[in-house]
Amino acid sequence: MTDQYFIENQTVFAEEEPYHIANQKKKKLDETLAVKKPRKLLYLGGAFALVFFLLIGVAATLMKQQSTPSVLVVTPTATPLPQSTSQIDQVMSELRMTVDNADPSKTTLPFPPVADQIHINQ
Amino acid sequence: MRKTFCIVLCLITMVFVQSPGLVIAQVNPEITVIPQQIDPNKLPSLQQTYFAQLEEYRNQEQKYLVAKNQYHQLNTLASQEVAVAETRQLLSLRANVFLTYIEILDELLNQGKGIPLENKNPERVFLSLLTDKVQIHKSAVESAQNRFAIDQESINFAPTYKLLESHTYYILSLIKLGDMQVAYDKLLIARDVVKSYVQDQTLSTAVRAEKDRGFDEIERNIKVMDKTFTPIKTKVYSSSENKNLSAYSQLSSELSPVYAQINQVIQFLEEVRK
Repeated sequence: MTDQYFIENQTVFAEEEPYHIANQKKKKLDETLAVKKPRKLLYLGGAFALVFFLLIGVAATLMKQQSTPSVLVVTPTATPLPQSTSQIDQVMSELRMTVDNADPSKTTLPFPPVADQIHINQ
Repeated sequence: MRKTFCIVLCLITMVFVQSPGLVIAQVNPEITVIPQQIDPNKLPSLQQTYFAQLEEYRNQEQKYLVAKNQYHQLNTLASQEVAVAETRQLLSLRANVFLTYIEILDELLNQGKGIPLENKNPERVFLSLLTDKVQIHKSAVESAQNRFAIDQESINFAPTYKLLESHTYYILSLIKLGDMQVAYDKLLIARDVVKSYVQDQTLSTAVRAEKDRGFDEIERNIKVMDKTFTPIKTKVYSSSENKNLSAYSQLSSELSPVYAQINQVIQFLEEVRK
């Protein structure tokens, strides 16, 4: 098996190299390859994690933007549809009271009737 | 080492990506609607105090006029002392009337519905500034010991008096418009309620057609009302000028047709619902 390896890797190991040196080189190469493989996986994992967090971050930002509007939005409450005449009567009665209160001829506590100039000297 | 570096990198990325969201969350915190705190007894109590203070002021005004006339006729030091004391008292009582009146205006604004916040809030802030000015004036009057100091303080207060007067009429205009706006809004709600009620009823074709014509007439009236009401609102809300009694009186007369139209629509609604 080892011999076969040397034959196939003529460019890496010179024929004239002693066996023990070639063996050492082989061991070193194996070690290097063994280290490189997990490092590659680590980088790949890191890149995936980066993309994953990036996507989560963008999604979270978008969701927050949607959930917190910059202006106060007042959603009008739906008026329940009246089922009976008495409910209609109530609506109309409230309306009449509100309209009476809005009578523009009514004076809401005018400016205090007090003197603007108060002096001792003439 | 590299593994640690990768983890740190991931964490940093996560923090940086999340941070805009955090910033947004800080800038736009969740809006909590705080229910408006209205004390139903506050306004009647303030009005009671106001009328009592006004009565006290009127009584003091008589004393002041008598003392002032006596001083001008007799021109003695004793009569001058009395005149100074009565004037000081009158100015102090007038300040009390103003302070209570400002509080009433603030409460009316606070309780007033239908007034845009961009108009309501600056006026409330201004009222608090006026309160400070009146209190300073009151303190200065109470510490004034001679006729020159009293007269000077009275002159100093004149611009504040004018400001208070003009803002009072503007605030009263806002309250009047707000009341009309609430009436208008309630009218639209009542129209929808009556309409849906009538639609749910089982009616003959002829009666339904009659009611539909009635609703058409109501819609036309509302449109006419809109055409009258909207320019009035725009004029008052957008203009900071014409803050005086005549502008306030003019507003009252301008709102009269809107009020009449609202009543007309109510009458139509009463007819249609039958």
